[in-house]
Amino acid sequence: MNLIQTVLKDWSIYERNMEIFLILGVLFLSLICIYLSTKSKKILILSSISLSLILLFNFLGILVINWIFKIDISEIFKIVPVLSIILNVSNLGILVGFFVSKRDAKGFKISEIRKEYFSDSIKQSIFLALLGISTLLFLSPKTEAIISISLLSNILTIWLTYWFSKYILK
Amino acid sequence: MKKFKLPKLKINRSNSNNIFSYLISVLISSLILAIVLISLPLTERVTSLATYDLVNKNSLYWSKEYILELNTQDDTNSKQSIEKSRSILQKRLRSLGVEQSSVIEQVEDEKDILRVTVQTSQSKELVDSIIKSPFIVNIVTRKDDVNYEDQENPLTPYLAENYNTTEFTRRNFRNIYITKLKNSGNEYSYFALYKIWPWEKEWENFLNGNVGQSVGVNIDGFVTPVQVTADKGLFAVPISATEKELAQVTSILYNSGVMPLSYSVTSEEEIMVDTPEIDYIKLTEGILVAILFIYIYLLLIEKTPKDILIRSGISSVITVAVWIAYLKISDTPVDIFLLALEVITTVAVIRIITENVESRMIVTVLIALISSLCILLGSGYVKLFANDLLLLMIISNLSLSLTTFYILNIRKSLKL
Repeated sequence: MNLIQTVLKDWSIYERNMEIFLILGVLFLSLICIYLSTKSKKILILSSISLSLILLFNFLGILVINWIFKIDISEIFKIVPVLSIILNVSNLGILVGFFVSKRDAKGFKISEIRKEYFSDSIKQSIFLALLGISTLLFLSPKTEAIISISLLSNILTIWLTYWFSKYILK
Repeated sequence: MKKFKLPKLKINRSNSNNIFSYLISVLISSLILAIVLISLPLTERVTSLATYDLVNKNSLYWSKEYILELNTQDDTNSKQSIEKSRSILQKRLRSLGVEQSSVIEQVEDEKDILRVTVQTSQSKELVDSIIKSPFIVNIVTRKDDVNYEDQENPLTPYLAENYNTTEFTRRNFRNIYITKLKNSGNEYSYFALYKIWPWEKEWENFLNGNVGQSVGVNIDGFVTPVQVTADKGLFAVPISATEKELAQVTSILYNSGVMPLSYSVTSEEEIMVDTPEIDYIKLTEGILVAILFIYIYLLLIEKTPKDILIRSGISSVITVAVWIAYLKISDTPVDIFLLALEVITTVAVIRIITENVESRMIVTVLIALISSLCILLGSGYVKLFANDLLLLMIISNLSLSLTTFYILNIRKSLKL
């Protein structure tokens, strides 16, 4: 609670509003772009869930870092949601790109893209995990925390999005 | 003696194409090697002719805490005014590009104070100008009983107490535009042009009633006299700034909202800088080793085709190397921890857009849009990160195309 109280007390209304506008703006822009590319409500719903999940995991990650590891949450941590959304959007981009390239093919079923998304998600998870682990040795604790929250949130979101896709991309 | 004949060199189209491809491959290879060498740490020691060491921003950072005592005595809605003052101060600091700042409201000895903390690499003079002046603007007119030409009191025309206040404040103006105009000495200097709202007729009437007379602009108790000209609607106030940066600060102060409360700085104290310390030599080596290690691993587990791994690996190395080389050559001060985040993001995105060709456009567009929005709405490190990422997206797409061409060319010239 200390962290939330600090944000409410120490941040000016301008700061809070700008942060909310930025995050919401990034979310809306991404979703509009995804919808305009795919014209598919199912992909839009899945993307919305995915982006909401990444923000939720970011928030939980920052709380955990603050409570358990006692790392002071400074302004640098404002990068976490932006970095995470960029990585998440690149994962959703795989789904969107594959959908757009295949949707006009004969006998195309939306459920087919799950197979491709699964294989790409494995590769992306391995890559992100390796990238995170191999760079952690050279970074300061704060930078390590930012990277860990962003990468772990991403890997969790990728797999939860895949799980949700089972019910949405039918 | 037997005559020696040189063998005839037959150059047909296929030969010349091969030679050309070979030369191009050699040229690109040399270029890549040179860029990688420049980007590696400590290569600047190789030659003293050019210095291209990475400029670490850590040495430029300074941190200070200012205590501002607010004048809330005459304010009936002080809580709202204090909150607005905090927001305006934050907006001003962000517009200047201060990396970290906080404005906290406190009560000490029954006085309302604002504790402003900044940590930045920006000039101290500029930050001081932003924080120390509330910049409360009021248009004033001359008093009849004051001698403004008094030789014994040269400060008379500049003191607010020698003027009558008017109803016109910053609120009456749509925008105040800072630009260079010719002054009375026929030289260019900075002026503030007061732009009014289209429906603001009272201001026009005020100017018409004072044509040829001197009025003043009172900013925090100091008046700048202005001669009202017959030019319809033109109100240009000379500003003291002579340099572009100071003119920019004046523009920020004018256009970042109307400060509802006056204040004074009661104390200012240097405090410890808190930035993530990273050794850039270790980091650069680490990142290159990490990229190499990841690609070897991916090659061994055979989850991705070899061709794609080679392409994305080379593109990643070229992108990172070009970026670090650019930062070194242009002497751009760098936050090393941001560089680490940028490199990690770029390497991850390059792998995705190389492997999923059909997603290249959408991923690039999405990241470019998100970065642009962060540049517009973000501040501090988010803005810096987004700015760099946008450039990195352009470099990575170019290097991906270059790598594809390079690999094709090598294969062609070596007839693989």
